Amino acid sequence: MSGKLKKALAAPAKTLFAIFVALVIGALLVLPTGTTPLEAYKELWNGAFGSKINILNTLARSTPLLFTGLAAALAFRGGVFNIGIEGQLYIGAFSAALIGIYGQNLPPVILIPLCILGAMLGGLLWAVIPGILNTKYQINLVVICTMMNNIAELFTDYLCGYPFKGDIPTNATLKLGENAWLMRFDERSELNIGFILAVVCAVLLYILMFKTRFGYETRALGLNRRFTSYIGVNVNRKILAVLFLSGMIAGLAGAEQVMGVNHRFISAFSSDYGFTGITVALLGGLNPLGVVIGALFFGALENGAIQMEVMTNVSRDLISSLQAVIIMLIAAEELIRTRRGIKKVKGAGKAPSGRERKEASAS
Amino acid sequence: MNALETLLETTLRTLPPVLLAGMGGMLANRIGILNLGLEGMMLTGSFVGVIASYYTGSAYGALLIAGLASALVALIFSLFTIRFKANPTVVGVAVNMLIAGLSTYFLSVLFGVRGSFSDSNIVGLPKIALPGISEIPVLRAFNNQNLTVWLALLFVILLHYVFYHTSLGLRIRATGQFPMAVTTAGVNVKALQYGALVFGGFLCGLGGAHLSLGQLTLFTEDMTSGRGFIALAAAIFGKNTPVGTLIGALLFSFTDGVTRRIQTSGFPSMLIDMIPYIVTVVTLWIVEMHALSRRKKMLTGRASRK
Amino acid sequence: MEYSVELEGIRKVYGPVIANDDISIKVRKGSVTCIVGENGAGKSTLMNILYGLEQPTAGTIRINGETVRFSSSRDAIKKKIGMVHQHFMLVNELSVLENVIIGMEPRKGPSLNYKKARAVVSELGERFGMQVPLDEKAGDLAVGIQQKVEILKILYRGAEILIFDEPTAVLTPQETRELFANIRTLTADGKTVLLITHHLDEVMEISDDIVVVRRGKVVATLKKEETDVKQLAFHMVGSALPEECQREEKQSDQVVLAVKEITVAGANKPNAVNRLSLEVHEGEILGVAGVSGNGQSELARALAGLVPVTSGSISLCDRDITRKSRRARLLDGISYIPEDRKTDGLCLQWSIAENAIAGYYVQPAYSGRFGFINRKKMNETAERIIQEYDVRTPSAAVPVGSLSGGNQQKVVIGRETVVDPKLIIAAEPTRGVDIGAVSFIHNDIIALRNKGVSVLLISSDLDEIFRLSDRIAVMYNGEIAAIVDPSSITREELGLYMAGAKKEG
Repeated sequence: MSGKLKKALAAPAKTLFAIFVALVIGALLVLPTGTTPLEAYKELWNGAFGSKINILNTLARSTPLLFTGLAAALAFRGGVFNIGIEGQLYIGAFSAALIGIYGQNLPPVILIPLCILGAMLGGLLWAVIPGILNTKYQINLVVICTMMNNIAELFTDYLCGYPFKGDIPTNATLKLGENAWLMRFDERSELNIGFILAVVCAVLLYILMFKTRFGYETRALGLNRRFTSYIGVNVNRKILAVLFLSGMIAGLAGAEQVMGVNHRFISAFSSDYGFTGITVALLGGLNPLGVVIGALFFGALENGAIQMEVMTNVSRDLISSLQAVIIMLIAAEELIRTRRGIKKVKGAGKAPSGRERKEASAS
Repeated sequence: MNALETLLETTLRTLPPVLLAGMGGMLANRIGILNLGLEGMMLTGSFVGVIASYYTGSAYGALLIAGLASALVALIFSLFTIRFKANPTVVGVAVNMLIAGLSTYFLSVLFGVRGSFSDSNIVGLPKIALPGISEIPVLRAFNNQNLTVWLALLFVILLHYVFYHTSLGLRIRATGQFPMAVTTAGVNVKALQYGALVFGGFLCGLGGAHLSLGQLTLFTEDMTSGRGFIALAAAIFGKNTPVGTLIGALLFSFTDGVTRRIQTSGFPSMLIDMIPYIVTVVTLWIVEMHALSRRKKMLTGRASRK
Repeated sequence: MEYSVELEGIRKVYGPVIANDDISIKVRKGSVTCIVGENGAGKSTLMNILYGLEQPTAGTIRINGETVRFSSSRDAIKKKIGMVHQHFMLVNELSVLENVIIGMEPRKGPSLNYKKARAVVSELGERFGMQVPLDEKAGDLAVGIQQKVEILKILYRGAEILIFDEPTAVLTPQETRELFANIRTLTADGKTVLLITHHLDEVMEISDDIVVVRRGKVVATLKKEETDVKQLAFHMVGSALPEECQREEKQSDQVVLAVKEITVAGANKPNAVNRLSLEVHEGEILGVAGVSGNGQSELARALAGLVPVTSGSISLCDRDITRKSRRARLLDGISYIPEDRKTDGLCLQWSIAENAIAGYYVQPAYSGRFGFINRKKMNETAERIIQEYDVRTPSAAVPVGSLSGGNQQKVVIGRETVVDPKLIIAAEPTRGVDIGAVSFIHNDIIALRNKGVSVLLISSDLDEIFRLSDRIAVMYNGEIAAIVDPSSITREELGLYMAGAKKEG
């Protein structure tokens, strides 16, 4: 096998291995419930892909994960551990909701972009404090982001429980004006145009990451920060740019949920989309196009788990444990001996020199 | 008891989780591996503590089992970071997710409940009455505290002694600075790292068990709610020294105590619940801002040394 | 004959690379044996095997006649082997005493017995004539003293066989002499010394026996009396060295770089560079000599625009660039060959092509509208560097980390010179590269100078300084101790400036 092919196959092989191990562990965890693993997984599969509606719901479930996965993939590529996606998502969602409520008389062509912009700014805003504390004072980003996540969840809970409380008993805002709703494809499913938007985002992000200067600098940042400043990039400013862009994408995830699914801001609505996004990103090899596959996979798992829980007595909480197992296995560099990256090229010493090759081609 | 004593009493009662996990985080920092899985390790202690207490009926037995279970989780963390060279940040985050998922999952498997579990069969940690102390002002806040409070304070003293007066401490301090120097001096650095992480995990487990068997006698989903990260902040605040970590932990549990007092005053509870997190952020900010300005002063100050 | 160390058929293979190939060496007790060879010849691997840091793929090691197998350095220490590493293994924040005893601390009950430790270590220092301040932090000491601490550290462990890995690389000529005197004291005491170096003069000065290693094999085992520098060099390289590029006589008064009274902060020092001034003329190589750690790195980084100066000014061709960013300077024609190519100069995981435009990717040739990178242009530049600088690689798409050190350095130097710079800051341009690449790089630097490019050469290798420089500036403690003409100064005199023992009026 040629080196290039081997390298190209090594990463997906490792990913598949991680998924396989996670499913085996999952099967073991199912055993004490009295359900056979096969039965559980069969329901999981049917729940995800058993009917047209189930498939649409799988896509619907994938949508926020696609956004958060992209947010995480961008940040992690740049070596910026943005664990604050969950919080950025809440603030983004709340901003979109406010605009959608108070601007409900605006026509959709204005209102929808406005809501989306608001959500992106909200997500960015929530990344400002971690960004500054991290770049200026070298405070661990994960610690600050975790605090910011807790604060965001509590703060939005307060906002929709007191000053902006809506017309339903739970802590939630009023409904957004219909002009701010995202179009759905089928009335029986929550799948909406946000999914298309997410896929477009993935493609754009792919181009940004691998074809442009910004991407070149971001990838350098993730691999070697000293090198990054050597090539003339202001490292701190770059970290902020990556973090802020990641926060803006996280805000989009919130906007989609508010404008396309719930049509209002409901307290604590996110079922750990921010954290699942990290898994999705790692599963997708921190590549935006890989993230699409990762998000579909987890969307299917989570959607399928709902039916699994109803039909068998296996709790859907199983899935989040499996996610963690997958992350750890993918992160383990040396677990599977597919040595990535730096390895002496075979016969490097004997390789033809540039001059020799030139002479050979000239003759 | 007057208000001050009550506050001191609450502070001590809420001290063990942050202090014990903080020392776990400090040990990890000292051997050069950032442990962001403290939260999950603590949650393990809370969960296993409740389960063990429910089945064995022994609170102290449950405490020990909780510590060992968390040590096991810490061992997994160490295996991935040291043996398999995985990024510690990613593994830390994954450990937290893993335990959060497994604890809720097993809650439904074992007891068919969701969210939280309480039962009269769960035996809480007994309070230790100190004869005579209830008459002494201020000190009487130490009366009727759980064993875990005393254990936590004891570990501070123990770790202080180990750090600065034993060869093990010298090796630990050196490892965080320059592991290769310690390796070439003939010390098994990896064993040292495993040991520090696993022992730190054990401490997290005790802290978690205090939460579910000492402060309360029940388990709820995600009951550690960020204390693992606050603990890490306490270690950073304390410049990774045992006594410094104690001071950091006291600061945070004092905040916790004060918040609990306001809780009853009819203010929206979410806003009050935010306070510990805000205090953590602000504290870290002040500590690091101070460190930065001192560094700057040192570097721009008039060069006297030639 | 009594042998302390016998290596027999040692072989070490990393994947496809054979680092040691059937190496057999016998070391007489109480002798100094030099292992010589160029970078990458496999000397360090061999010594790491002897010290238990790495395990041989095949072969046997005998210590004092007894066959041993080391799985870690602990096993080697037990057999009384000690090693002074090229990069010191000292914990800066700990005291000298703590650094010496770590790993073998005397105890009193459960506690560490500092009193006994102090007594033992100072007795040891007296015995071997190496007094060091026990209570100072190791990081605060001068390099020469740090090395003594390293030696004490292994003597404290009871070492009878001492391995020195390139011990003179960081020393002044005077300190080197002192080290050799210390080594003689040790062998007089019956200890055995193994010394790795590529400085042949030093080999002739200190050794009893000489082993030459080339491409992982022993190519010659010699007695000092039977050989000379020339023969050693021939064995080491395996062929005569390529011809040297001749320096054209050309003097210009045009000042390209003018540095006035700059002060630069270091990691723990406010004035790592202290009110330093210098000028580099057009078509001139100004060599900056000095023991590493005297502010050279900070100077280079400040000139390249990576760290700010706290005071003073820098100008390029009469234009003030003191406040200009790294990127602006690089586009203005300041090239920078950093001292550590692996962390600064290259992104090892990236291809040669991606590294070929590092820094220069912002030029319009490479990044067009909307910030898209022109991959075609990028590959063209990479191919040009590969051809003009004779980079040995199967293609431009290979990760640069997979190349040998010399070829990696050629990529850096190629990238920094194909852009037609006005000034090149070359920091340790030949560190860790093989002799063939060294002369290639030297010739390249001289050719650039002949073309009119100004070069600021920062090097701790005196051979390199003497060979390339038009003028030599000696740096000590953040200041220029002297600016001298290479033809009118001896190495010893230079050494006095380097050690701070002498300063120009």
